[in-house]
Amino acid sequence: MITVLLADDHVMVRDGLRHILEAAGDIQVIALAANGKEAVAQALTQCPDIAVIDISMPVMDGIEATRQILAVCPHTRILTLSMYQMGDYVQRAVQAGAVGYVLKDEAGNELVEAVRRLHAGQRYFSPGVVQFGS
Amino acid sequence: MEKAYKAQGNLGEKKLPTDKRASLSTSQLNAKHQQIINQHLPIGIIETSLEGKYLDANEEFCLMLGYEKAELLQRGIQDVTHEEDYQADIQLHSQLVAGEIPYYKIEKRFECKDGQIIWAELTRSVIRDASGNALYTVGIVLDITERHLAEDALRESERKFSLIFDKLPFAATLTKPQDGLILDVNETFEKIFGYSKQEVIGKTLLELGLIPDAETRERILAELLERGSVRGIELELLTKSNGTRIFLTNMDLVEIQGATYILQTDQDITERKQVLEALHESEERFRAILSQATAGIVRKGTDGTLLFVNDAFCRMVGYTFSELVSEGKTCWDLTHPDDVEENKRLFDQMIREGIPFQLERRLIRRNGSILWTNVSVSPVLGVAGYPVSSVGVEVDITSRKQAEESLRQLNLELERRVEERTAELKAMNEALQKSRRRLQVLSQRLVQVQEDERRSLARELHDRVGQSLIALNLNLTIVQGEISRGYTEQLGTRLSDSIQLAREVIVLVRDVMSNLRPTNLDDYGLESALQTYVSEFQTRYGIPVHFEKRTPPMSRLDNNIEITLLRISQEALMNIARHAQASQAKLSLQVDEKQVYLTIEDDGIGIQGQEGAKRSRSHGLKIMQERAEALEGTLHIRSTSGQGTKIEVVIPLPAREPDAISQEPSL
Repeated sequence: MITVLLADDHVMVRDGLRHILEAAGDIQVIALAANGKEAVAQALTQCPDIAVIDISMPVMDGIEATRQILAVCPHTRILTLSMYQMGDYVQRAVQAGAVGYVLKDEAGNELVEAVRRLHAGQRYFSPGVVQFGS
Repeated sequence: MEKAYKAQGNLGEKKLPTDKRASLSTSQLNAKHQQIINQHLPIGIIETSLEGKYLDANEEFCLMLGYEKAELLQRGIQDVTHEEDYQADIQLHSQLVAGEIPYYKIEKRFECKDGQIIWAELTRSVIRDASGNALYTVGIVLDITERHLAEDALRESERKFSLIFDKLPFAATLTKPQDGLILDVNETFEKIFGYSKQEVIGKTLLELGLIPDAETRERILAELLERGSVRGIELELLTKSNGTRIFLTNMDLVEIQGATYILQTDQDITERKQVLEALHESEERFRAILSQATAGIVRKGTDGTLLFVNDAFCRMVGYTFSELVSEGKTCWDLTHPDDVEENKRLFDQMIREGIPFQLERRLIRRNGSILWTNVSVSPVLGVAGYPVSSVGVEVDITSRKQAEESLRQLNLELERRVEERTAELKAMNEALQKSRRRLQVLSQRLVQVQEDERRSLARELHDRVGQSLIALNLNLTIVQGEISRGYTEQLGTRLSDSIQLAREVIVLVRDVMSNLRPTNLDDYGLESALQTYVSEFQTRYGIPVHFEKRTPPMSRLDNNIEITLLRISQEALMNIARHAQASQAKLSLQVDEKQVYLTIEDDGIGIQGQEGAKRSRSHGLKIMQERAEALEGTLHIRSTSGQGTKIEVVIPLPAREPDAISQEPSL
């Protein structure tokens, strides 16, 4: 089973995403977080395989959360969720340590495949996302 | 007449053939000879042949001419006679020999041996024999040189006197005191009186009109006899050619050859007299001008002492003539102390170099008041050609100076006003600049506000609308997956969640739109828009806000005023919600003909208490203030710590156009 930490401030989005991930069968959502700070705390105790982190959250945003999660759980692979496909956002996420970037619009279709790829040691970026230097 | 004798004695040894004296008896000769010698007279005696050769001469004659006797007897008349006198002498001598004349006597010049000339009186007679034949002549010579010189001197003296008398530059007459008969007149007399000498000699002065009358003549004569001379009498005398003229007459008693005469000299002074009279008249006229002149006229000494002042000057300065002139005042006593230096400099220069000058300066009147005059000063030159005094003409220019002064004051006043006006303009310009800079700030702020609003709008769309739509999308994706896999037990929950999400999105979109531009503001006006916002605010933040719509509803205001007041109200209420910790708030709107008043108050902690939120709050306050000022209105904040905050906004209404009143909502 692939263990996943899921962080999103919108409760219905979070719930929908959890449902889609768990419906895949090989993925288990072991922790939920409504902001970056909660995500860091959950990662510290759960050390998930994959952390799916929304890029814009209150209290602590996804970028800072990515950096701190990697500081405490270096083996966790970070998948960034975002509304924005622009390169600046992607680059910042990658610099912070993210190895996947999925647009929320496509999350319903791509999220499971992305988590599997990351778990297999690969990277995943939604089609249409502008990438720099990777 | 037998005056000539033959000298005997030492002449006797001559026995010349031509010597015919032998015919005289010795006794006769000796007797004569002896007689002459005895007399010891300085008389030369000379015997001459008929041809003019000297036969004998006495010692005296030899001494006269300086010859030795032997030398003399080698010579004849011609040898010792001055060439001018020879002809006369030899001719008479011939006549004498010929018997035409018994003897002759002439004055003639002899030439001495040393060349000197002597004058002599020569008397010659002829000696004849018994039958009457001429034998020789005898001459008696008297040396008259001295007498002759004296006579020459006298003649020269007379000639000189006559010359001087004639050439005297004034008329001279010589008259007899007894009867006044004219003896002589000079050339000048002829010229001046027009009579010739011949016409007047022998006539009396009186009958010629050369003495005014007998009485005058007696009077002058008496004085003349008493003193010996009369000097400087002025007489009007009648001339022949030139009418009556004025003479200055002198008379002297003079003695000529023992007789006493009157020498009268008359000098024609008519012209001089006329000049003097003209001068006198001119002086009188000048004096009259001086006293009548309206300008002040002042004569000053070289040191500035007042020598003369006219009436006008006295009137100008308020002093009397005697106070100024007799008391020895100087012009410096009257000059204003500030003007003395310059005046003195010009005055001294004039005295030194003779250059006239003109100056405007102040005098001080007797009563202490100031008099402005224009003074023109010219030097008065003495006979030596340098200034001995000066004449100044003083013209009162006080009124002109006063006019100039008031003109100057007027100019100063004008300049001052121009300066004031310039300062006003400068201030206005600065205010304009300031307001322009403020406008720039406002317009930048406006852009900033617009961007802030867009940012918040974007965030709202992202955070709420976007997320809700994503959640909806996820739900629908899940529903689709479950239906395809045949799982149906949770479909109902998913769908009702989805419907709920769609409703939320509708509300969110409406909220965002309403924030962007409240539609009821355009449709129903400010009161309506405020009421809607207040009710939403109460719902969202749970803070009751008191606001009453008025009945009848307020008339519509200018569009800008309505939106501004709405935005200020929203900002103020948002501040209350975020920072004031208020339990309630109150909003009121009033309007009169000129202004609209908006008041928002709360019972919160007051602005001073809101330490943490100070910055964002003050930013919001600033924006509110600027919104009010953009419409030339004011916004005041009254806040007491712990006792709430009150914001008062006053916006002036634009002058109303007649048909722009109360538009009905157009739906």
